[in-house]
Amino acid sequence: MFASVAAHYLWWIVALVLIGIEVAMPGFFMLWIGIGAAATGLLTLFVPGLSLLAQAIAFVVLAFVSCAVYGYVLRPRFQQGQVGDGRLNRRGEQLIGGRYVLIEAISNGRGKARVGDGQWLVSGPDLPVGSTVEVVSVDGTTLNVRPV
Amino acid sequence: MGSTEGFVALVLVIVAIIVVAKLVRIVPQGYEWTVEHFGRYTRTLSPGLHFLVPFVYTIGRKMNMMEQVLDVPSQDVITKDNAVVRVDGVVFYQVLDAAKAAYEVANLEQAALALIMTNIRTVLGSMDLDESLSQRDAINAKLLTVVDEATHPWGVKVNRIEIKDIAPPRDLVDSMARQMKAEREKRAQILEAEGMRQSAILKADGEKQSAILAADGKKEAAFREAEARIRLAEAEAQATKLVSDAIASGDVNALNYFVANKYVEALKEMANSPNQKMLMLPMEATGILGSLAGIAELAKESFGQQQEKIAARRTPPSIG
Repeated sequence: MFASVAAHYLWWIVALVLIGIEVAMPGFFMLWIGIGAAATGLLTLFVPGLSLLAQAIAFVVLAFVSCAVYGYVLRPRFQQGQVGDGRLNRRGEQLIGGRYVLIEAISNGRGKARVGDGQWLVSGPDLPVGSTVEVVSVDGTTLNVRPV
Repeated sequence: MGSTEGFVALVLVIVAIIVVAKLVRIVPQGYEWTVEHFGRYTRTLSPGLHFLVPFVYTIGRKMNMMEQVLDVPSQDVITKDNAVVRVDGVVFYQVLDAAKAAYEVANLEQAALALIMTNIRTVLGSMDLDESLSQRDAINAKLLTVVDEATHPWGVKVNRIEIKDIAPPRDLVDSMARQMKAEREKRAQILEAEGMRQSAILKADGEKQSAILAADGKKEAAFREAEARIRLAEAEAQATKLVSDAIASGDVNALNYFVANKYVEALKEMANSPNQKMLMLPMEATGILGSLAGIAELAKESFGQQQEKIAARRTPPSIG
């Protein structure tokens, strides 16, 4: 069945199928393999008479190369100037720089501050209740603060 | 030979696909995945594309970093004053530290729920029924303080706990309604009694005022009447004095004139009276005639005097 079809067409069919799968159900890894398959098709077009094994090896190598090219060359360029808010889903980091009032004195480096209508554990130098603190950094569920 | 080669090629392709699938990892936004190196936690993958060395590094847990809502199933709780109430609620929590939430606690949801349910019992058990019904905010705040502290080691932040419903048993609700009704009725009755009291006071006050005013009026009237009588008496005295003066200085005939006047008027009245069965004539008709004669005398006298005056005025001055 496949004997009648030229090898590079076969690879391109495979490439289209893989990219089609990628479009239908985004898992994002089929794309690189599809690109690898398309490149293998080009290779067999320009270098005829490659054995099937050689083609397969070429496919594998090209698939990894396409991954590497995206990961180390294209991705840094794509992400320049179009990074979304990196603090999304990071509730603690959204509070950095904010000033809050202590509702529990910091003693032994641990206390509580009122944030919105809730409260957060804070760590910092010992301070009395009611003093204002500024969030410097966040460590899991604890805010590191300094006195204002 | 060819078929063997083909088989090997196929296996190679399949292996390549699997390896690439393991190599390229895409973490969707809102999740963080932990990475294990032969079963040991090494790092956490943030959302986005990652390349992992296949087979050496594997994905451990896929943690949801979005704020999540947990329904606290309803449970029976006994309050401080021994009332049994059904309580349910909701909890909003968020994983802040994926690694801790993945490995510090075996079943996060179950653990959090157990913690919250026991704490609801604790907090409500320290309040009586009325308090627990009216102080939701205080309950929520207490719960949040305790639970937030307790979930801290699991890398979880409990943002809010809300008690949804506190339902006392049917009969208690009925008696509460009855109490409410009685309270309102009591208020209504007190108000009514107060109203009646006020109105009675006002009425009495009105009556008192009117009595005082009436007495005042009478007093004033009496004063004025007395004054009037005094005035009248004074006037009469004066009139009498004038008349007697006139008589003393003048003629008795002047008095006769008045008397005659009165006589005639009295006669007229008698004649005009509705029951004219009889006409009373004075015993001495001659008296009247006498008084008339008196008037004539008076007239004559006065006319005589006037004529003398006129005559005196008209006499021309004598030329001597």
